[in-house]
Amino acid sequence: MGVVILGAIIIFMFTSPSLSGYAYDAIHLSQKNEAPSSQFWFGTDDLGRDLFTRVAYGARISLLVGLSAAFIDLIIGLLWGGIAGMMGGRIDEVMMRVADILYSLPYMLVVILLSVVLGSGIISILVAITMFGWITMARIVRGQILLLKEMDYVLAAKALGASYGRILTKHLLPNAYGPILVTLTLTIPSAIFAEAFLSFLGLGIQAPMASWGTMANEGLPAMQFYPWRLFIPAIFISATLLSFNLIGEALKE
Amino acid sequence: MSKLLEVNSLSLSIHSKNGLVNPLQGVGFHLNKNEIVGLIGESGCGKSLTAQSMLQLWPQGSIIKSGEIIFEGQNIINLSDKEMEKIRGNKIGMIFQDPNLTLNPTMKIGSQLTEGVRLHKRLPKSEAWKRAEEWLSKVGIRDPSQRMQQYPHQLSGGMKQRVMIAMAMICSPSILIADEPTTALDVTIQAQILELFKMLRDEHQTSILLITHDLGVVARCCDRVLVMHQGKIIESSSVEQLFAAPQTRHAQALLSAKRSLMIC
Repeated sequence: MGVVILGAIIIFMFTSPSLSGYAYDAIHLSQKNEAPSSQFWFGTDDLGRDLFTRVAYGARISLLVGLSAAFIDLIIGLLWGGIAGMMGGRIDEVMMRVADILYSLPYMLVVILLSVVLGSGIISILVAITMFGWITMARIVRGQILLLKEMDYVLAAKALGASYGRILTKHLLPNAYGPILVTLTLTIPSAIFAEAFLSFLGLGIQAPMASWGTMANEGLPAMQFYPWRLFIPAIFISATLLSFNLIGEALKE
Repeated sequence: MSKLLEVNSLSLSIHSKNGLVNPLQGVGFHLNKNEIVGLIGESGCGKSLTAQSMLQLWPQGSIIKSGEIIFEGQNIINLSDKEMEKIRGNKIGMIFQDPNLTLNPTMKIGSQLTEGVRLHKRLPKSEAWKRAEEWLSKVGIRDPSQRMQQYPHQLSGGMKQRVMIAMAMICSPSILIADEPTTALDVTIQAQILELFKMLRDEHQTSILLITHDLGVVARCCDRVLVMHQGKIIESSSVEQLFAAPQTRHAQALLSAKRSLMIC
């Protein structure tokens, strides 16, 4: 089910710009705020830009941010959690306290500061999301490693003369694959949502580029008169999050 | 006979939540070339810890208070992790109690088997696989090339233990430490595994330290027996001597427990 929805969105994302025949930033001032019709399938916004095309472009940015943030989280989380769990003792203690401190910083404040320093755009959004996102992954990985390193086959591998690094990569991480994968599928939607949320607050992607969050933001003031401008991107955000969560739930079982 | 390995007055303490415990209190014994030595004793007397100490695989929080382990003329008790990795698996192999837990469920038999040789002998993959296949057929597994492609859950318990033995022997170590290798197996498989140990001793001149609490196992295949009690080796004698005339009270108690079991 999740895969079907996600697949439909991805196909839509790649095909629709050529289907509609409009560029995402082409302005039609004579056709502002049009309702969905046979000419503009999802209607137009306050500058007469085609929403169908913009939603498809927004999908690219949203998914790009979501996937790459999740990927960066995964790498940092695997390294951090893996090393902490494997070494144990004082190193573990220090590494996890660093994570705890980062986790306790007020998220919005740091993100706003970051976007002031780095300027708004995809990079600063990625930095902001991953700066906090990896902690969950690191915790999951560490927990798994702590659990698995007491297993007898780890002792057996040690008795064979395998080094720490080898035990971690060959024996521990492959066995922690399941929970890591589930966490990953849940990280992607939360990153997409964080991007939409930040863009909605005006801290993210800037016009004329479009992400779902910025489109929802632009649609908000016109909600009473042109509800489709808000609802269409909102539906896409919800459907994507739902599909990733469904995939995650299915993997859990 | 020459001494291959000598352990002298090994004492070990472990920091635990309930304070300091002293599971090993001056353990001393030796292993000759080409013999099977049984190490018996009740649960918790320090048998497994003694075995793990030889490879520095002691649990976290352990402190060596005194003692030396002399292997090939070198005291290996203070070797660094890096140096120890060269001995583990290469010169001293180890087999554990439960073969169901000691194989990594996500790795194919073949890649686990060859991990040791490829690490220590730097053999290319094809040669390592050939060697692994030879060892698998030596320990009595049919269709070794097919088994190498399988995962641990596709093998029976007895087969897994054979794989473990092949894994420990593949680098031709001079000492094999077997920590209760037959406890988790049924009796017929036990007998086969013990025969396999004798074969290793006779054909590959391997010395085997066999840890067990089963006196039947000792009687069947050991040359010499060490009796352990409360962190000390209290008796060291030949198998015949132990069964005919046990020296210490504890050994007598062990034997009489066995006899009363046989009567039931």
